[in-house]
Amino acid sequence: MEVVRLADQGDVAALFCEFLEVCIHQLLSVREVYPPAIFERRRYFNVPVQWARHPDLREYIHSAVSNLQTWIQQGAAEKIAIKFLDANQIPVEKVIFKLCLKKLTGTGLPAQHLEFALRGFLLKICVSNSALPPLPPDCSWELVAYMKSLSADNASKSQFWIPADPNDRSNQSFTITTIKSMRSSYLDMQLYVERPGVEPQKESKTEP
Amino acid sequence: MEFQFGWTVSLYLLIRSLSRGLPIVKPEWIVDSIAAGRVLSWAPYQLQRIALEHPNQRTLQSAYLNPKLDHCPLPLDWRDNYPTYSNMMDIDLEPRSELLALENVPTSDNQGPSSVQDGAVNFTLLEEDLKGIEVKADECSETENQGVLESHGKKDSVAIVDRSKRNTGAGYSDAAAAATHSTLGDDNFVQNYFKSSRLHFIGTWRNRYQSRYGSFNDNSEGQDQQVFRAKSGSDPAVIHIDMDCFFVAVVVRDRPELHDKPVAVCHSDSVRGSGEISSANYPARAFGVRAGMFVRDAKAKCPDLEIVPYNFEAYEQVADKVYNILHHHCGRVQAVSCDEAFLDVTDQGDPCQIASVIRSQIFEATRCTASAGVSKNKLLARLATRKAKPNGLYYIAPSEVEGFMDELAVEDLPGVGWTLKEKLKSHNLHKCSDLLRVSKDFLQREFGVKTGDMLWSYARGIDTREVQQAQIRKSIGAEVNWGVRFLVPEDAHRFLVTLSTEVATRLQTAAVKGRTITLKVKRRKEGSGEPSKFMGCGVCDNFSRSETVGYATDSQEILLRVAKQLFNSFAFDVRDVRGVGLQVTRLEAVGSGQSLKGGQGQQRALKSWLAPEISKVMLDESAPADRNSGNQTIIHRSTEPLKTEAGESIPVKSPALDVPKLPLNTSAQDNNDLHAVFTAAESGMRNFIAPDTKDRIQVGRSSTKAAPPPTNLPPLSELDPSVLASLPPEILAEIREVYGELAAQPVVSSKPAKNYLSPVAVMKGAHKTKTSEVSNRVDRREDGIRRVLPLEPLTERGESSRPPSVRPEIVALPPASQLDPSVMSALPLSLRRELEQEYKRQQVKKPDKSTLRVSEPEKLCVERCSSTSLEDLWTGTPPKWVHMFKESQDAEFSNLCVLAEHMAGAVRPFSVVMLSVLPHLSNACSATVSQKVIQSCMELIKQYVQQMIACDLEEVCMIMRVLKRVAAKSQLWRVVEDLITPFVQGIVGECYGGHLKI
Repeated sequence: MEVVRLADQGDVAALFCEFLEVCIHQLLSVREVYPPAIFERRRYFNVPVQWARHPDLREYIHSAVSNLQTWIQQGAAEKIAIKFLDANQIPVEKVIFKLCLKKLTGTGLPAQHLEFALRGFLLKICVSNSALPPLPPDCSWELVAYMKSLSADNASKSQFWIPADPNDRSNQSFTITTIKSMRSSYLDMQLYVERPGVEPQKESKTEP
Repeated sequence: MEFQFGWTVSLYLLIRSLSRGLPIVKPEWIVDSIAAGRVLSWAPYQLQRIALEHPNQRTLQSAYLNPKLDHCPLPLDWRDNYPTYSNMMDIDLEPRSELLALENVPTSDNQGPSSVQDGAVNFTLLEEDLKGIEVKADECSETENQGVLESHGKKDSVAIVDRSKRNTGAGYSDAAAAATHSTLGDDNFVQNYFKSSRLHFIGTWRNRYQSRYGSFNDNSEGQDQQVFRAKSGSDPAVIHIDMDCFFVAVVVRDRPELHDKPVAVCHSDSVRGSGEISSANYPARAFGVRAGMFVRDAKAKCPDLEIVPYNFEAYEQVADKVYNILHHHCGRVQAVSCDEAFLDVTDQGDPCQIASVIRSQIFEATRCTASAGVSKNKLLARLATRKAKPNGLYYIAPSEVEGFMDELAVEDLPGVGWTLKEKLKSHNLHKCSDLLRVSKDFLQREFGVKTGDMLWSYARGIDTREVQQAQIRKSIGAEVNWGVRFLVPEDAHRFLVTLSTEVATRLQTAAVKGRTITLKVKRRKEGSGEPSKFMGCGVCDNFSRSETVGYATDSQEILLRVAKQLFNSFAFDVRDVRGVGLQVTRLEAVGSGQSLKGGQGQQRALKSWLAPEISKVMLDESAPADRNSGNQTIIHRSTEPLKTEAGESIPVKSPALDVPKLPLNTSAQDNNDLHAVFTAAESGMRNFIAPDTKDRIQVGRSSTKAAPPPTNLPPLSELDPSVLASLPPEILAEIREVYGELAAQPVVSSKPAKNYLSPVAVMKGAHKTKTSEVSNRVDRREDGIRRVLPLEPLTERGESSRPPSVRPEIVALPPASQLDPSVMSALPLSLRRELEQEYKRQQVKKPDKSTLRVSEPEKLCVERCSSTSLEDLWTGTPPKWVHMFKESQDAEFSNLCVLAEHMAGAVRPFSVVMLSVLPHLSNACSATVSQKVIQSCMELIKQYVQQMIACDLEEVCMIMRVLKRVAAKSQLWRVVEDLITPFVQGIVGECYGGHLKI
């Protein structure tokens, strides 16, 4: 069998984007944002995954992720989040991929290793539902990329992504549920879920 | 600097910058002080007093002073010996040496210069000089506070030097920029803030009061209360003493130019007038100036109002003096605040007499006036004070109560605020006499049970609250609600650093540690603008969150960690934060491990109980007797308290040994290697029978066949069947055996079964008993894993190697192997320490060769281990700590060796390794553990988390979960988990901004 080698960060980023696309589909299915009927079963890294059948949805996800690739490759994108909003557009859950690409040296590394590691993520996503409370009905979702630095150059290059409201960093406190982490010589990646925690308890005025 | 020449020949020295706060005294002070051989109170000698002196105060003054001194006029020839100085400045340096010599060589030095000219020349000492006096005076007052308060004269020989507020008081910076007066840009903001905060003063004053009078109270309370109770037939009498506008009076007394002028105290005197007045004197009150008013409003009412700054040092000194006087007159003093107190003077004579003496003494000592109310309870005394003010005394005789209360408006009752007043008015209840008309039921229905009850009884002048002595502090904290402005999160974090340092300092000063840390945050109310009060907090929402840490702490590091974590958890925009408070509750006294609930008295009781000398004497005495009576020592022990929460002492009663039972060394500290001893035996579990029988169980453990039967077992009927039912079958069998045996043949004896009843007395050097053999065997059988019980075999060997003729050494402690770890862990920390130390001491004292041989290398190892630094535990492959733990032969670490071994060759993450050895860990570490092991484990996890946090959150989460599982079974890891959790949450908060769900 031919050994596919990942020569540089471009390759890693490409593989990651492919993986991310699958993950998004999978998450949409697992978190039951859409009815199960719109998904079909596919296989990725030898793991059964759900894949949306709706062409527009597929296109949306694909273009969003592939437009991210440059940024990921440059290491500009720090976190990529799938943000679930309830009917009132209030974020109820954020699934966050935090990644850190590493510089590859020499002849590169075999792709299987990375694929093997990523497979762990897919498997974990499949069972993540048990660790999380169900989403409210009528959810919508959006993709958010958190950048380390956003140069004008990058911003102009891709019209698909628009800068988000900088105040978006919701001031709420939240609870982190970890799903999966990996460390490797290609990239470090962590997948975790942020859910808004309990509101700080109000206290009756205690002015001395 | 200016000189002013006064009337006749007398010369006044008024140095503007010096005279404020410094007492100007007559030269007789020095002369008399020399004559008396100590630093006398300068108060009677003070110049201003001449004008103030009242004819009737002179008598008090003489009563107040040492009578000897009073009847001893100055020798006239002294004056002739003294040179007369026409130039005041010459005096500057010389009095200093004089004063410093005062204490040591009181009468020898007659060369001391003073300026005497018909006794009317006064002098002022420069600040340097007075510092010297101050030091002396402090020492003086210190020693007095420790004990002797019987002499009037002695009590007040405190020279007050007030030099404090010159810097702060000299001039307010009107152009107070936000940058210098807020948390922005001022690194010492917190310290400075608390320096000029009145609330802070009041808060910390209580602390100071408690440390000064806490012991005093305790000492006197016993007898005093007895007296009180014994004679409680007579009418109760309560005095309420309240200083007249304390905060102003103290400042004004040293500034005669302000007398009779409207004066108010405020922390700032800015042009904007946005400071709040905290206290105003009576002339100012006549203009309508009230506390809590903004300065600008007050100035509008009274344009001549003089604003003076606080002088906290003077307040402290005055308050101390006042309380010295109060405590001198009465053993039952309830300090309400620094300027207000209740005294219970029941059975001490005429309360009015006492009150007036107190009042005049307070004035003598502090030149501040106090008002007093006297009546039969706290409520009436307080109301009387209100009537007495200013500077008066009011007595409500029992017969007058009714008339007095009838006239009173409802809002004058303590506890009736504006809201309640309005409510009462709506029911047409305006006066207390109106309240008498309505039934208690009605009041309780309308205003709630408590309030209704209060109104009902207050209206009748009934108050059942007793005068309480210093109360135990429940919380210590610091809160800043003024000048808090942050721009970026780093500002807030910097602020938390200083705040936590402040709180830690306060904890340390009060010698307590706390477990629950609460962070209060004031956030600007949405939509409200900049507050009207300069740098104030304005309209705010209050939020608070708390976190309980594993065990009581006073460490700034932990406070900061938790505070940061809590602060981050609010996730506020820091620009909206207007106030931050950090508070520590669930306090324990340092070193005792005891909750403060029991108070200091209990601690003392425990101490005396543990007093090592007495116990040893007792034991030595009892030794021969024991030998004669068939080598038996019996200890009777109430095991009941053992199962109460830590914080209780364990009463031990014994007919043979009367006072303390356990010869514990209270002073020794080092206890590292002994912990292994407590890696103890399941057999200890058998101790558990005893606790639930609730009765004093007497336990006999004999070492010879000839011993009398264990008659000390509780009667069968007293055993709790439910406890019996829940016992393991083997133990149950043993119990049955014993009781069966007892019933059958009461004169036969030593069965192993007795072990389970907390044996506390052991004969060392006697033949090895059947009992211990059995128990040891049981240990091994019951243990899933062979434990390391180094002491047990050693002791056995040591004992058997001794010839039986050697005089046995009796120690009222069970062998280490008999200790129940769970009981040990339930003991208060200090007690546990002492027990451990005692074991250690015994081991050292009794140099069995075999013991030494083995324990030496152990000790070395411990030392090596502790000397190895705990840094970089995770460097290298395998990580450094693996070697460290493995090489350590120390039993404590040997438990962790399993972990180390598994880690050694592992490529798996630490959490997995830990999980795989989970059963070993939880089993092995069930006993008491030392600080060092905890520290090691802490560092181990801490550093691992630090290493992992950025790249592997999942692993962090995993390790915490594993830790949680281990903690459920093991004391050591429970402590580690408690300590590490806030840290981990903090670090997650820092890196990810959230709270990790574990």
